[in-house]
Amino acid sequence: MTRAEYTAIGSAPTRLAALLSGEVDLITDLPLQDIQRVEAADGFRVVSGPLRLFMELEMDGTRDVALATYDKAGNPLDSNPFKDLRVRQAIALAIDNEAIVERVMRGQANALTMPSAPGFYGYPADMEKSPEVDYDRAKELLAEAGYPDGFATTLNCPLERYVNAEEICRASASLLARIGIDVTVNAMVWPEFAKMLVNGPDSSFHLIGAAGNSGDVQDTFAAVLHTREEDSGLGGQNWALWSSPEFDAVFEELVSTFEPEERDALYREGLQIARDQQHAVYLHQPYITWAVADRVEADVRADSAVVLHAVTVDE
Amino acid sequence: MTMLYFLRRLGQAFLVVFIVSLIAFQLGTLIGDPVTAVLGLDATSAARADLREALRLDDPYVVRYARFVADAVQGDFGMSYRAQRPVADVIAERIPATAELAITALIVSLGIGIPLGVVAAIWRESWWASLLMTGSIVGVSLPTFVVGILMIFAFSVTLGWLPSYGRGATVSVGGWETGLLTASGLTALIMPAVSLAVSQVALVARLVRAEMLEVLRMDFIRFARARGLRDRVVHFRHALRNTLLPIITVSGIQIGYLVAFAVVVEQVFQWPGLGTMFLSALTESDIPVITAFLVLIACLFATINLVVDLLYALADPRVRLSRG
Repeated sequence: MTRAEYTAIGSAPTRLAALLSGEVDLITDLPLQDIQRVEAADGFRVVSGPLRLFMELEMDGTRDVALATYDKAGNPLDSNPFKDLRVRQAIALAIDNEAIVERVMRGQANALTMPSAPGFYGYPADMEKSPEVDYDRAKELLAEAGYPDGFATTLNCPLERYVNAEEICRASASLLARIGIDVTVNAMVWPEFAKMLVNGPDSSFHLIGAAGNSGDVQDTFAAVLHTREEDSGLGGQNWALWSSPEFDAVFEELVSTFEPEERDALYREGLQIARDQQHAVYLHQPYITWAVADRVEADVRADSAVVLHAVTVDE
Repeated sequence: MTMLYFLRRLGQAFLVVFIVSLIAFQLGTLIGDPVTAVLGLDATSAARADLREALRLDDPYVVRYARFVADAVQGDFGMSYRAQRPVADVIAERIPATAELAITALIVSLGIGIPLGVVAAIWRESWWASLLMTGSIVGVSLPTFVVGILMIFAFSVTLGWLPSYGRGATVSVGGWETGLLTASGLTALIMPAVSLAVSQVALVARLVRAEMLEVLRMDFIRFARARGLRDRVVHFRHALRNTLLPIITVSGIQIGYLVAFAVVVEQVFQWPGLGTMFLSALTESDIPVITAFLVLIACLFATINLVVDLLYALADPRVRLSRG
């Protein structure tokens, strides 16, 4: 093997056609609805692996009045329901993330209950529990928080950046309707969504894929979960504007701790705080799906890069 | 009088380009944020502020627009945020692919559309001529990308005859990267050109048929028949020739539409032309590229319309007398 050619093929049907007609040997980002088709075709198969990313619905943890949020009569609320732990828990109880994995993601994802996922360094797999769905309890929690009739809000949703992002948003909206929260999905193209995030963020409720930079849980803590701080740059991707002094203290300890076992304990402690505080609604970790010709062996990397030393081709 | 007419048309063309450039420039500030496009989401606010400064994004709108126009008239559209190269270069290297695609599609649509229209006009009473015309409506109604994808699955996946994407090998002729001189370039051109031509074939056929029917009713055709000329001569030497004049004008305008429609076809076939460049610039909010593309297309349409208007005036004095 002396040469490999990378070609950008933006349109998914064309990409699949290029593989099936033998012009290319490996394609990335196979649409989920085409998986069966590739598996049924002779001489091709699907390779997949977890992406180092977790999808979550982030809720405004700072503002006193939530943006684009109304009572059932359509009048703007003078409060921020998302700031109330009971409301966040109610939303999490209503979002059936296993159903989303099954239906929307066609099984190509791991359901999650904390802000980390397999493949992250420091991810405590044994902490994962099976997701809970309880509409009655969710309604009780909403009533306790002062929203017995629910409320109406807007879910900001990026298009095309994450697998089936818009479908995830629509599924979440219809699940939340069951506990009286009317959700309007505001879908926007990524540049517009990104602009909304960096200017504020001008959002009190949105879907996003989060990770941090290096794949270490510490980086997730620093970028996504730590309180936003202009000077240090900590919390730079904390678009939920979530802030927990308790969590920040765990982080401070983590960065000055070098003993692996102690660090493990701190990872767990931080993740437990995020989960108990329901910093966001944790949905799932999507898989990367590639399709290859049978003569190709490829390892899917968690950062979705196609690196040639992980690809072999039979002559 | 003629000079005045020419100047008025020229002034209108400039007005159109000016208005489009205003809108295109304004669009740049609406679709996404240039700083995020360059730096991504995880940049510090200090780095963001520095880049805003470097790109001079905080200047007043009028100042930025004036600077944009001053640079643009010298052919300088700034740097692409994504490619980090001059936009003019990025666009220049994409033009041959789109030009060859649009012109080939035009030739295909005329090559099929004119004969179709002619036979439909000559044998207008027959059932198969009306069947052809009805069938051509299907051609107009099918979205271009559907035709493209159907063709890919038929000719690439099932039959394996034609490549499903790309432009094949190209060779450089005097700085123009052409795919017309290589076998792989020609086979790669077939499907994009045909799917782009499909909707136009029906338009050309209907136009030719209507024009031809009109010409066939004229006196000189009757006299030609009365002179005992054979049908073939009457149809093709006398009638067709007089039909073609308006077709040539329409073809000019069609080129503009073909370049614009090519955005869809290029995306389906991953044709490395202006259309794929424009779409990826949109998803990456590469604003200088978006703005330059829109202004370029406006210039193209304005030029074509200007030329067509002037040709009309040359051919028909009534036009310049009544309007000028």
